[in-house]
Amino acid sequence: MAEDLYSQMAQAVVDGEDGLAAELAQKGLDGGLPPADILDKGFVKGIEKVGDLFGKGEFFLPELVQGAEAMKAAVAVLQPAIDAAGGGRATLGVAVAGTVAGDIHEIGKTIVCSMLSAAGFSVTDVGCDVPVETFVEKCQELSPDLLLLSALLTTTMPNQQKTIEALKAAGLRARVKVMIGGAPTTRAWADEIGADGYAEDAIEAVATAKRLVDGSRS
Amino acid sequence: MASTTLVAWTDEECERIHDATLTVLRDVGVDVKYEPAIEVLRELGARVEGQRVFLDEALVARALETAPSRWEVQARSAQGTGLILDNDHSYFGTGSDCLYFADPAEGRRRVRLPDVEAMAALCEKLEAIDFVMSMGLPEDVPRSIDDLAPVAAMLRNTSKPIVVAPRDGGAVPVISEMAAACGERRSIAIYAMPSPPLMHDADALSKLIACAELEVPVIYAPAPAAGASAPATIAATVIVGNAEVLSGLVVHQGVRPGAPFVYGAGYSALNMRTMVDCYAVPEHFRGNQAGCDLARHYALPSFSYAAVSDSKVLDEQCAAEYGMTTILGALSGATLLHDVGYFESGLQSSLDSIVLGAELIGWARGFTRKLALDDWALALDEIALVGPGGNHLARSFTRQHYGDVWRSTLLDQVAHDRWHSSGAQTLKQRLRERTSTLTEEPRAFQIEPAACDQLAILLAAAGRERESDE
Repeated sequence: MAEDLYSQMAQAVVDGEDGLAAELAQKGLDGGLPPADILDKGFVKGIEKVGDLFGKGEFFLPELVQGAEAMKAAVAVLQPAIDAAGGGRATLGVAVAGTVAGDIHEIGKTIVCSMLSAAGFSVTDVGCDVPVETFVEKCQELSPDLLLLSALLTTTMPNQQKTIEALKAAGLRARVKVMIGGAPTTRAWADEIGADGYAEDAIEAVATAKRLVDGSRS
Repeated sequence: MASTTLVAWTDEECERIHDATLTVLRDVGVDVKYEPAIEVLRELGARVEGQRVFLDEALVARALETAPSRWEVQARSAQGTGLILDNDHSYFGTGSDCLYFADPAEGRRRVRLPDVEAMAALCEKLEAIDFVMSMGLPEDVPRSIDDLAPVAAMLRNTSKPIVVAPRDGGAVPVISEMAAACGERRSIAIYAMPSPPLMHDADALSKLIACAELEVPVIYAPAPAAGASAPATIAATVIVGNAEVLSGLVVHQGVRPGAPFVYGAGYSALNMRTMVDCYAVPEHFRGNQAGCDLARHYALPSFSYAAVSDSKVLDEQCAAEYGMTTILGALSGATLLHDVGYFESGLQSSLDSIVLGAELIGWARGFTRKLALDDWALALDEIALVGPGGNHLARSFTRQHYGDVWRSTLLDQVAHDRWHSSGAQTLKQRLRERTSTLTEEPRAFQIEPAACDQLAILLAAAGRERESDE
């Protein structure tokens, strides 16, 4: 019975059905299944399959993004129970991502968030036009392993730098790896402002994120 | 005597899209992220809820009525040709702000200011190029003036009209002064973009307002991506883009009725597999075509694309895509066709690729040009005089008119043995040679030293002002 429910959960993520995913998560909790098992044996299997199918070229961006949304809907239902059970979620890492102040370009950042979710990161997307202070607050609140800063304009790129400076001032810089991205940004700019990682596209972003998280743990 | 123009949507179909757009503007609204623009719309009587603004049909109709369907942009030399921004003229030009430049010696690298200088000097010599955009965003200038330094570089090297994509409206008077210092204030147009879906950011809005106030033509070019920043059909994506352009037009005409506005046809085609925003795919050009049809329907000049490629180098794919996108651009009848010479999906350009684009523009113009249908062109006398089985080569009529065709000097049209004996060169080799010859030849244009000094002064002042603002 439980196995059947787990496979339905995985399938809901593969199908990108966020409403159904939330419903199944609740059903699992109501049926007394351990929240960690619901996640690992059910939904995580689904998101792994989504990532796998994307890698094979059978899934495209919409399937990937919708899979990540379904995953997010399930986690939202499960999180209180997981917290109550005293166990954090087993993820590759916690990431906070947003587009910097003055910049309302979101699509690229949203794609990166979906890709990271699909790869197994727990991602908090703080949106666009995000003030430096909000990034700092989120780092204090969530203690993420990674902070991803997107900028699509040459005029807003300096806000990536300002955010890094603000993290230093708040004494948080050593605790979080900062990645930057966005069309006008480059590896050289990342080096110049002291970011830990740079990615040209969302696929490279996942690889970089994994490398940074591995590096900080080893 | 009409030139050959592709019309994909009839007036009736355009009207259907227009009605749908009005529904969006009335019921969904657009986000206007700049208080002065919200103020303009509020005064016009629009419904405002925070930053969300709802526009009714009358507001849109009034803006469409006051926007001019014809405007002239001047060249900066007596012998130069300006631009007539209307629906009877079509012009080609480069694009702006690529990050990379294909250097013949160094390969792909970031753009530097001398590249912009060289590009503008080259374009001055290319007959097919009618207006110039910066091509690249140089990395070797202070960030505070990275949008204005290329303007000075263009003004120093070409007398052709320039189209500039500055960072915000504050730059517009500076650019206008720079053009005036070089002899013709009315030789510029400004490029601005809304933020899909259905948003206008402060930079775009401040440009719209500054351009309206100064009566500098502004091109408002949307780029909603089907399935990402718009619904996944071309029709819906065109509606989203149209709503962005028309709401921008309402702000613009609200500031100054009659100020010049160019309808940007732009439709973004995000590859759902590679995540690259592709330029040379059929959907992109089908969407652009719809935009051009709508612009004609509104009697507004339009702005679209030509000679663009997704290839990473100037190779067979690039040449094929340049061919298709140049003829499609030319057929669309857009007033301004930009991005000539782009490849790597708008991230890279080069001098060679611009020369190839210019060559293909000649081809496309050979096709779309107006054909004479007068009695002399029908040449019934000639047909009768030579008669069946005769030889028109010997006729003076032939000698008089045979030259009236496009002639390539780059594409290979010789017989095999002659091609072989003259070196069996490929297009790429001929292109490199042509570009080298053009860049090594003496400059075709030089500004007065006094104007050059004035540009430096204006640039330095703008840089100081921006640095003190930051």
